[in-house]
Amino acid sequence: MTPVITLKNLWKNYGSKSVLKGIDVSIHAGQVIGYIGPNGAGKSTTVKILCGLITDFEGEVYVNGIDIKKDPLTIKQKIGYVPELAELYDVLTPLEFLKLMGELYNMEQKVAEERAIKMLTAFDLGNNLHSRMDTFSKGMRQKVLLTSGLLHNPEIIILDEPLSGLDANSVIIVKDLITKLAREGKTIFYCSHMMDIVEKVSDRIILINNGTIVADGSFDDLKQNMGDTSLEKIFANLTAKEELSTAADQLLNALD
Amino acid sequence: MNIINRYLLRFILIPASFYEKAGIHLPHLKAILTAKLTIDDRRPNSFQQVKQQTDEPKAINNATLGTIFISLLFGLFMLISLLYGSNYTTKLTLFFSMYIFMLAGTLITDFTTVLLDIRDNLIILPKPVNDRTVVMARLLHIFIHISKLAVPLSLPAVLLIAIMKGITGALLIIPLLFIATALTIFFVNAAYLLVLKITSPEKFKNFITYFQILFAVLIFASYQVVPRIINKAHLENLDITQIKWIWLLPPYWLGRTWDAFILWRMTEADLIAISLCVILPVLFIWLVIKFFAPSFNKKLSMISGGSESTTTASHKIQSSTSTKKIATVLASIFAKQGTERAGFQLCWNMMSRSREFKIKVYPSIGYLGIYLFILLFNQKGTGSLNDPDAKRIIFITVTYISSMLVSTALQHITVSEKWKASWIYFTAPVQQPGMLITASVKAALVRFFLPVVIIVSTASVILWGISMIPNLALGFINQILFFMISSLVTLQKLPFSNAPENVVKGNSFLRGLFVLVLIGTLGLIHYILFEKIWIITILSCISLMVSYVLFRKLGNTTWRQLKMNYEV
Repeated sequence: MTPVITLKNLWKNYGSKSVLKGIDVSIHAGQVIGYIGPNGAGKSTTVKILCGLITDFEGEVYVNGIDIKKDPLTIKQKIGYVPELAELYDVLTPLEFLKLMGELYNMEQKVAEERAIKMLTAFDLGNNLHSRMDTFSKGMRQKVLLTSGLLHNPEIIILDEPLSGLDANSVIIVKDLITKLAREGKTIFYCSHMMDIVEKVSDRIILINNGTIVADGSFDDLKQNMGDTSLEKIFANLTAKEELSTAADQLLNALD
Repeated sequence: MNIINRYLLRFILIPASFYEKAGIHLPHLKAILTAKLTIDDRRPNSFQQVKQQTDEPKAINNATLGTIFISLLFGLFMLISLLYGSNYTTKLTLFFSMYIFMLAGTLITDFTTVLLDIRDNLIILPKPVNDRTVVMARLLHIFIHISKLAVPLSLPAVLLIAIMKGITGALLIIPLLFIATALTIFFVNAAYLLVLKITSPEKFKNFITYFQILFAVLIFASYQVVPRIINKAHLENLDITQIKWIWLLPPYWLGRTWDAFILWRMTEADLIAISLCVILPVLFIWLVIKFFAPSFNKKLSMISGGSESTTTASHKIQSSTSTKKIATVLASIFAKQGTERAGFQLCWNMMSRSREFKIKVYPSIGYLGIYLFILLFNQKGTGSLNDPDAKRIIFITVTYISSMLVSTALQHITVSEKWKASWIYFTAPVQQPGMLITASVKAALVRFFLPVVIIVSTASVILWGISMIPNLALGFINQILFFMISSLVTLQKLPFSNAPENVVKGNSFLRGLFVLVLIGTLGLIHYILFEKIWIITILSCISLMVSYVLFRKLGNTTWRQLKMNYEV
């Protein structure tokens, strides 16, 4: 079976600094990929390359066998992206914003509007359809952002910290949604620092550190190989420069 | 979207087949422009940014109509250029100079937020929209915006020329206005690029802030000072064709071209002017599209992070370290230990770095300079500075008018768009919150009042001798008294803790009235007693004591009093 996403020897340099150092990954349909790593590991850079935000990289990126450098628009049409930062044109109302998103994803206006209303209502924003988003809380903005990423029913969904600012009920909804979308055959690329959630929702976990993949497999595989019981511990073992309890002690000592 | 934007959009999309042939996706183009124009309509324009930042978000709807109306007013003001000068080359050179200046100024101040809007990178770029559509959407957006400025700005002149020189004259000026607009876009682009080249993207934002302030001051100066300094007789006989360096100014080429066609006068000089008018704008536009626009976008993307983010960060650290040092030294001199010192440093840093504070307060420095200029200009005709009456008027006015600056600073020191950050005051174990208020007053006085004291005192002593010291003392102490009274009556909030939308307009008006009456009364009393040195000395002592008592009272503001203010 052809992989949905293929990254071959992916490199990205900022000046003399290499952020990605030869990433090789193949992802198949219906998988939920937990893409994790410490700050500055290269997660966001990978995501930005996949979404077409960064174009000057070395290596190859294929989505459904299509080369991203040759036909970025076809690939963008297949991807739904929820960025880490809730960047919105916030003087617009959520409905105005989502209608724009629908147009840009070549959806029929009526379909986009109907879907936007249904999704926002499911997110408990039914009463705020016509309010300007500059009055919204962080969680409300995140819900609009999630809706914009899913509106055109994409095959691949890239989520960068999608639960940021959401209340507990909304977190349950989104977690459930991720599982159900994967069951429908969608491929989900999930970046997060919330290890417990990554552990629960992911079929496969890719751990990146300093621009290279340091672990790749299901949670059970990783547990078996590393001998640790939680993803948090596996993460710490593979990425921490020193014993974390030592760092905590150093912080505590600084208070003396 | 308002009716003007709707029609402009419809007009701009007429050559649909041209767009499609050029590989532009029409539905995407329309969707992006619709969203952008709706956003424009809900965004305050440059004049509102400076004057009405306290409005609620809803009150800035229909900003487009506001922009058009203000541009039309300036267009009417620019007619002054067509009424003077001995020939049409001179008249039109003056007119095009004003036109280019106004357009460039409003473009930089008003449209910078659009050009620097990096949200597009995250919102539009990941969508399946082709590059040509994105670039065309940006160009058409700029075109629509410029049309909304340029048409009302030039319409009064076109009509006046139609009356003065007939329909041919009016029709001839229209293509020249297009050329002037193209030149302006080039100049703005070139200026942006130049600044981006010599500074970091972060400093570029500061440059724009200072330009906005300068522009506000220049506009104020243009209608306050220009009518006073214009010598009508001289202007009526003005003939700029006699000035050799005038060839360096593009408005001259435009004016001369119009005149040459109207008079059908094709001298060698006229032909050069016409050629410059035609060739250079085309060359400039080509340069903009080919070289400037791509590198500009590349530089712009750096603002959102990317390869130079570390360089930008180091710039930030350097500048903040120097401000921090000054703040620490001044705080150790002017503020007590603990809460007040911390508050002083915070206020000093915020006043130095906050863009919104600078935009609201710094124009007052320019306004003050202009008022002083007008004052001295008016005195020029009435007699020498040593004339006792002139001396008294100038001294009192200069001394008391400078309180306007500190008053503006105090008015804005409690307000911030980041007001939510004030949670820190409420969660920290601050026993005497009044100390934070006195810290903010002290920081504003040191930053804005102390320089005035030094300049005015030095100038007065040089001009009129040391006999002015008692009057100087009363003038400045009275102002401190005024700051204390106005702070007690109207301030009573912690620094940078109040949301802009909570500043009620009615309150601002009443506050302004109160400030005027109070400072006017103090100034009048001083004016009457100007020559009575003993009374002046006694009054200084009384004023100083009252100021001290009021300052203590301000410092003793309790949490209970403050909470009442925040609950409103």
